[in-house]
Amino acid sequence: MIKVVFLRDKKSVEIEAENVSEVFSKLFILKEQYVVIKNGRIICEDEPLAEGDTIELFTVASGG
Amino acid sequence: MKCSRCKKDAIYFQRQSGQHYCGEHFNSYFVKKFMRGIRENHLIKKDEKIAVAVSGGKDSLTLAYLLKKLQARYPFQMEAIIVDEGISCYRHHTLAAAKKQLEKLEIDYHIESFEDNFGKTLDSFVENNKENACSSCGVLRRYILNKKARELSCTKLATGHNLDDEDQSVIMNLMRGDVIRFSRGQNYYKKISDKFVERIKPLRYFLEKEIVIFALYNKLSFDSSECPYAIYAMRGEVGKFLDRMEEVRPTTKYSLLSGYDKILPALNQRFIPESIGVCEICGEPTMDGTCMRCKILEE
Repeated sequence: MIKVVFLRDKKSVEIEAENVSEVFSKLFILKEQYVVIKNGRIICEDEPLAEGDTIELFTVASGG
Repeated sequence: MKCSRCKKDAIYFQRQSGQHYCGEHFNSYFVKKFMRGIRENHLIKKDEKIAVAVSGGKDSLTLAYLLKKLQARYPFQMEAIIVDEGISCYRHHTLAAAKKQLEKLEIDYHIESFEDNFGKTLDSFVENNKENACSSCGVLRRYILNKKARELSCTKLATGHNLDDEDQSVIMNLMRGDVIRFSRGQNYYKKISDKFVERIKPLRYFLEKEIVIFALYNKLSFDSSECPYAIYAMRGEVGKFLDRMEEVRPTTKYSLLSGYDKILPALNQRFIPESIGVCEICGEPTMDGTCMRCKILEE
């Protein structure tokens, strides 16, 4: 399982996925709307993920 | 995945170019594109005085950061203007981020509030009409920025509008049938009044997501929260539509703005007058007898 943390909403979900793209498609969210962070480092959408990984999603849109 | 230019881990995949970028190469791409945009569009002339509008978010602080970098190799003056609209549970922390980063960059700043300029906060203005918060806020904020930039004898006012913002405005103006705003644009700005300080938007060809990555990678102390009035704005819905289009058709956002920029000179010529009058109440430039700011204040 991969733990996905939505930083702005302070919410998290767990999901089965082999890479970041799969996380996006399974959660019905758009790549344009989040920057993905793993272990404090920004990662690409095609980055493979391993069982037990935690990724954080930083919301792109802000302000007014 | 590895960077297309070196063996380091990539932090960003640019779908329109098919390139992977590591942090270092992403930074270099971003800074070069910014500098090229300034140079090719003649945005800042030697020894000019530039006012930078800073909100505390990633766009305006990235702009301030890059202008400071430019200043190290090109002589011009710069001061920042921060507008405090008076939005509870929001503005105080964005203001703190703005001050912190500007002090770090050693950029002088001026804080102008709605309360000092108009006698009340945005919260009070829109207490019974939250749906209009964004349009009222926009009018009043632009008024302050222009007035303060003029007082500071600045020749240009730089704002942090990005590609997503610009595309959203194009669609929104079209959807509203607002031909004047749709035709006004930015790149082909026609000087219709000496009282308007020319605006420049050096980040208008940068995707919002790329700006976030740049700001995070460079550890800028920006605020990433959302204005509480944003939920009432049409902009958010249009933004989501454009994000969905970009997902299925990468480059949609670039194509929309570059196509718009191509037709803008013709629109500008057809719909924008050579000069405009002044408001009968405050004397600021306006196309009507009374400017929008005075209409809002009267209400």
